[in-house]
Amino acid sequence: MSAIAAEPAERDRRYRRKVLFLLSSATFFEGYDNFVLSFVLALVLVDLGGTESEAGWIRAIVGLGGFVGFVLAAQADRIGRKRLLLITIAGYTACAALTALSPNLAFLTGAQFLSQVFLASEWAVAITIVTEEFPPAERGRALGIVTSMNTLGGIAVGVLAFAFGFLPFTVSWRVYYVLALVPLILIGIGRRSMLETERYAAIQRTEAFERLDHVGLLEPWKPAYRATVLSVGIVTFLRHAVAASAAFWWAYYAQQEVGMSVSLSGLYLAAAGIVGAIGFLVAGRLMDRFGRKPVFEAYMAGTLVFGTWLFQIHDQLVMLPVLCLAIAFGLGSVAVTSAFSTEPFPTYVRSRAAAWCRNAFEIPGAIVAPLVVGLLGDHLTGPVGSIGDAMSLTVVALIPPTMWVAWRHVPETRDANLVAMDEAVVK
Amino acid sequence: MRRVFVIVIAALLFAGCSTAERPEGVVERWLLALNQGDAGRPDRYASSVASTAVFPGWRSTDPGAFDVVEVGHSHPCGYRGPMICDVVVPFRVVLEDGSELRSDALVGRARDEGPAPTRVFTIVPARTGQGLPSEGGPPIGSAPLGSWLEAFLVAAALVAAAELVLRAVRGSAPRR
Repeated sequence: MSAIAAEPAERDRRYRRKVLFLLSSATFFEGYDNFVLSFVLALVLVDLGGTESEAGWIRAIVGLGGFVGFVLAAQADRIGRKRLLLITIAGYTACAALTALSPNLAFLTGAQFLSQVFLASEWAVAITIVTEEFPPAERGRALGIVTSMNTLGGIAVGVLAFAFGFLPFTVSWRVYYVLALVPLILIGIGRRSMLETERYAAIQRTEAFERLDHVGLLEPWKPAYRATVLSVGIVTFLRHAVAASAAFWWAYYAQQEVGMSVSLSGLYLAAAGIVGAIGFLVAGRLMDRFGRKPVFEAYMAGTLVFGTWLFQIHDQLVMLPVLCLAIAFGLGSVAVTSAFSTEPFPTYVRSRAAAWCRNAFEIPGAIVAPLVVGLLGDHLTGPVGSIGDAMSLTVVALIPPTMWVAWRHVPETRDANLVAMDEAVVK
Repeated sequence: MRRVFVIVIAALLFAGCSTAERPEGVVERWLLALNQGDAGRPDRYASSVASTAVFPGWRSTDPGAFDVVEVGHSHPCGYRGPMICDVVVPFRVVLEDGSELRSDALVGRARDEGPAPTRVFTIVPARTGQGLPSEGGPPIGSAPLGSWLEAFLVAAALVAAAELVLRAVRGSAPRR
């Protein structure tokens, strides 16, 4: 056995559980932030003034922050995973505070843009750490747990909205951002005790470390990795375009086109989020057993059916079970795309590859699609004139290509041996 | 392929920049503006008579008084009077205190205004059989059948484009 594989002692289960908890906050607050913005959108537009089209633009500009976060996320290959995690939590906490203080839409958009810079880099480095710290047999399950926190973030928003509905006064949308500050500070303190990942530390100890390119943003585009980055990138772009626009527009659709109250849509979101979280966990276990690609295809088929149906429903009773299934399949599949974007790459370039797949492809999908849905579905001037139909059309147009590219071009990585991959690189 | 892409993007942009205003959208914007109080300037979409009929205290109350705003699909207007009524749009608002107003908005313009923007000029009691989406009525808007066909064509075009690009990239990469 070579030094690169033998050197670090395997960390115990207790440490890995702690890592899982501290990393889960990354995905939790990403879900919280995205759901808060879409959920309180109608309130924000009422308070600060704005239209559906402007809401689409806000989402687009905020989403650009995630794209810019690509540069920050890529630094994990240079400065290490742990240090970047600490930077991102501090930055996001400050931005959440700024959002709560927004005096107008422009300020809110700016603060949320910066939030996304930190959140997006935190996500990329978090899934990289999971991939590197967990043994192959448990990797899918761990990715499922970490990514499931995204919907639990959404649930937290729904629970808060439901609870606020019982208060005798109207709660400002700003409260949602203020409440996030306390756990963020506690998690930031907890992350200081984390260690650098075993794989990164092992690579760092090799003589080849100095020789390898840890800085170049284009390193994942070397011929050896190019086709994988591109195919995973296309898959994540298309999948997230659908998931992000559905997450962004569902509350608006429910409130404006189905006639649901803010508090009832919050309750639905909370209930559906719980089932959705199960979708992530099941995906994690299934992909350890059956492989990444079959599970992804099954989840995308579910997304096609329930995602299209969800935005055609005007019956509030039917809405709930379909929402649960759409979230379970649509968002749950991110556990698999997280594996797609990290496992095929060696350690020295993994975080940059994940950043490319996640930030440079996935996030633009989240910018373009909600904007297009907003323009098409605008009730006043949109050519479709219905957010529901515009959303269903988007699902029909984007999910089949996602399934095709994943099946044909993305490598299966269930049995990927990261140590062997690193050994091949340092030779 | 590049030409097709440019045409699709241009079509989307032109579609997004459409200036024709739907009466359902006018009513919805009016109610949302009304929900912002005086700052929302509901007079852009409706007469002050109509605004006051829906929410008498709208000029002085804080924003966010409506818990539910729901607008249905428009219907032909049977109104006869000094205004030109284009359509009737059913709507419903529920205030935070639970009180509900279910009514129909008459959307049109004055006879001597020429090509003026359509506005809500009054509201009338809701007629039965013109349901809101939550009552089983038609949705506020819907995509024509052709749009669904276009969505399938976009899916097929994306598959073809991705396949072409990925084959080209794989062809140029060294074997590992």
